[in-house]
Amino acid sequence: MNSSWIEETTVDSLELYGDEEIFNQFDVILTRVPASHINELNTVGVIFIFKRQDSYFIEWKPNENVEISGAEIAEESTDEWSIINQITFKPAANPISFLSPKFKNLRVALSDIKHFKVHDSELQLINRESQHIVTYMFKRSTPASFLRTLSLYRLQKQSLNDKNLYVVKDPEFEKLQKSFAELNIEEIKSSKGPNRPFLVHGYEFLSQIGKNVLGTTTRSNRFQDRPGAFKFEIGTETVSNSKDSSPEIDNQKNEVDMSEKVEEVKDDRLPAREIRKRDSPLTLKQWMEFRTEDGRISDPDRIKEVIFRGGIDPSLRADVWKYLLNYDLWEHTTAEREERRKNLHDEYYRMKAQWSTLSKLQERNFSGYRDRKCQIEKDVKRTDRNIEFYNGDENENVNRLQDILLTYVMYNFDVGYVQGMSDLLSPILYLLDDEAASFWCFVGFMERVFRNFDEDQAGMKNQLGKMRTLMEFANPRLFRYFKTHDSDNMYFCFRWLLVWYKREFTHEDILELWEVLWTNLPCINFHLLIGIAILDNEMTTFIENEYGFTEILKHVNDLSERMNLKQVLEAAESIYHQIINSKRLPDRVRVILGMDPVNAYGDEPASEDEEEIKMRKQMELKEEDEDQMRFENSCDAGLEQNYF
Amino acid sequence: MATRKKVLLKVIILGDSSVGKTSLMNQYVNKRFSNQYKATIGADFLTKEVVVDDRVVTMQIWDTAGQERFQSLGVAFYRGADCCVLVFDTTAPNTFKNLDSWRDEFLIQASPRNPEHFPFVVLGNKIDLENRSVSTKRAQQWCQSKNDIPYFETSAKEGINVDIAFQTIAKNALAQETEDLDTTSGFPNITLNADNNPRPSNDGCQC
Repeated sequence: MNSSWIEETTVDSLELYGDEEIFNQFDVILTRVPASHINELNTVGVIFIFKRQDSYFIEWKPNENVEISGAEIAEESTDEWSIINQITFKPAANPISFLSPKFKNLRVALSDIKHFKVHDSELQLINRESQHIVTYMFKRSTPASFLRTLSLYRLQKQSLNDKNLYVVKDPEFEKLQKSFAELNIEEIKSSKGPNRPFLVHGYEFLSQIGKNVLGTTTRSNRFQDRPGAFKFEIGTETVSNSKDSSPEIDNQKNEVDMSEKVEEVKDDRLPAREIRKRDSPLTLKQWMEFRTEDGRISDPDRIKEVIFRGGIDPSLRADVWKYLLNYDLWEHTTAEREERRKNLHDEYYRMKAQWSTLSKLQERNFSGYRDRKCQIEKDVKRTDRNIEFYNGDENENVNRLQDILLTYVMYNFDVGYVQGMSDLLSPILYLLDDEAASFWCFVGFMERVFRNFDEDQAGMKNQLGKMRTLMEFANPRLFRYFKTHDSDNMYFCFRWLLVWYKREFTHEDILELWEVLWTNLPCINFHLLIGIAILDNEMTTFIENEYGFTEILKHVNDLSERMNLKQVLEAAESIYHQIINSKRLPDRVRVILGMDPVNAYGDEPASEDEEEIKMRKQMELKEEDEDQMRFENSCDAGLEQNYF
Repeated sequence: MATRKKVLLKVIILGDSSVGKTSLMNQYVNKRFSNQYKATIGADFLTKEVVVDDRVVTMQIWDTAGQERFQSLGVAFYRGADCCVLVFDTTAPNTFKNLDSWRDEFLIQASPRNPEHFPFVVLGNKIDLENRSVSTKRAQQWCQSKNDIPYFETSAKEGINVDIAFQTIAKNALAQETEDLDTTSGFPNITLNADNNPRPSNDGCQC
């Protein structure tokens, strides 16, 4: 499986095809053209960035000259999926074709361009004589990802004075400017030349030839210095192909180790991925062993380890959840536990009475409450109605869901009720089947995830950002793919993170996934690594089908209830170990996984994104602090601001 | 037929929570109604091929979460929309009152090229229910005041008016596409030296 993309990096295939496509965007209209292309004016086509040897070209091709893959299938089938392929464009077999008599392609050498000007969805091309030669109109998108791709290859830089102006680097000029001393000698030295072509994409390999001239040094090397992507592939292979046969893994590993490619891999940032097997769940017998005579639970850390490795036997799940969600406390004796439960029980019904005794008039005058109530009523009616516990008309459990959520509104009016929260509560009530206990367990869960429900979505955005950072480190190849396909906003993970994969796994699996995540093992934010593992597993599908943002989103949504939890957990744990055993673990990743930063900025890979990374890191560190502060303050009864 | 250019129309369905966005989409695409749709989280879409004015077009219909705060991520999904469908519940006046803000929010986030002429369609859903509280007249008046937005009263449950509404949506979306092309035709054509004949030869471009 991984051979398919390694092959395409060989020099042979490059010689065959000549041009390396590094970007495409469909639905681009030429709204200004040179006279030679008057026929193409206002024609819809696809814009490409190609690389040939060490030169780059921007080429627009009318739709007729572009193969639209999957169009036939779409024609016959009404399946919602088949249509997606239509918007996957591939250059026709011969990249530049005159077979079509109607419209010609329009290719411009990047070296002829002085700068790009952006105006809304238009991209203007200004040549070195300062003449405006072409305008591309991005009909269904913006020129942003086009420019980002050029920037990724260090071919363009945004003007400091005019944010709509992008200056193309002049290779001739750069040549003069760069003295040998400025070149990054370390990187050149560390590159063991002959092995490289096997490790990277063709264009990266080739870019090395001209890197010192074109000023692409840092970026291209950055990727080359990360054959982690390659090794990662091996890891993926291991994980996906030999789930149940570890001897095979070893064989495979040995095989790979023997090849000369991997020598290079060895001193790379990401070590090989080792499979982590799931264990059996915590049993009643084990649980009883941890119980002292007076009812305390000894060694909660050990219990959590067992749970992390294998979940909890369904027969004692309800008992253990109460501990994991801070309803019962590990150190309490039976008597203390009873006492606490009784207090919490009373406390729950005290708060419940606060809303259940509101008069109609009070409710009418209390829009903040009314709005929350209205949303709750709508949502409980459509929460897990397919499982028996919540099935049928006039279901009492649906009412209990509603009551608990309304009481939570009274408990924490600021968080109130937001869509998604009913999804988080439903499995708890199902399992505990006790209103007050379920409420407090839900409170315990919400303490972990309340930022998901921020009014301004800051908590969600922050997590998507962390997801992006982890992806960049854990799977640079897929990250780069996302980046060049307008998908590095990671929005397709939104549903996953908002309700902790509630919609992605079956009801039974969700119980296990959540208890695993509640252990906080092996690190905080392990739920993000679950997402990384899922995406990692889909990488081939994304890349080979050339999915863009839309298709990735659809694909990800359609994984719902089709994934094997065991495999996902194993992969996530493997990735975790791969990351933390990396020799160059940057602080921005360490912080996400709950490790102390070691050397602020010192181990950052040099790149044009440095500023961005610094800023992001500062923001992240700040957010962590804020998280903590808010966590501490959130449940204080004294919060009185009303954000309506 | 095989050589005909394919058109993809992107349609966004917006409206308050629980007005029936997911149900309308599924009724139209899959001819199905279910009581068991969950609240939409994030965004999803379905596609359907339809024939409009003799052309085969693909509609990509986007369904979004209804609670207001989730709209701040909407921009990623609204981009490139060809038509926006505003849905309200004919039994819930608030959902009708909010149409204004849904429309405004869409125009801000999607920033279409031609906001005044961007095609919207309004659907008053759940007409199968008895406790109707937004009159046809009131809805029509609002639609007229907004540049004559087409208005349909639908029942996703019974499948009433759903097909005809989406036919209009497709038609207007397609018209929007075509218009977009027309409005760009006024640009002057300039002749320049960079007459790069895009020949696939190996004559090594100047680098």
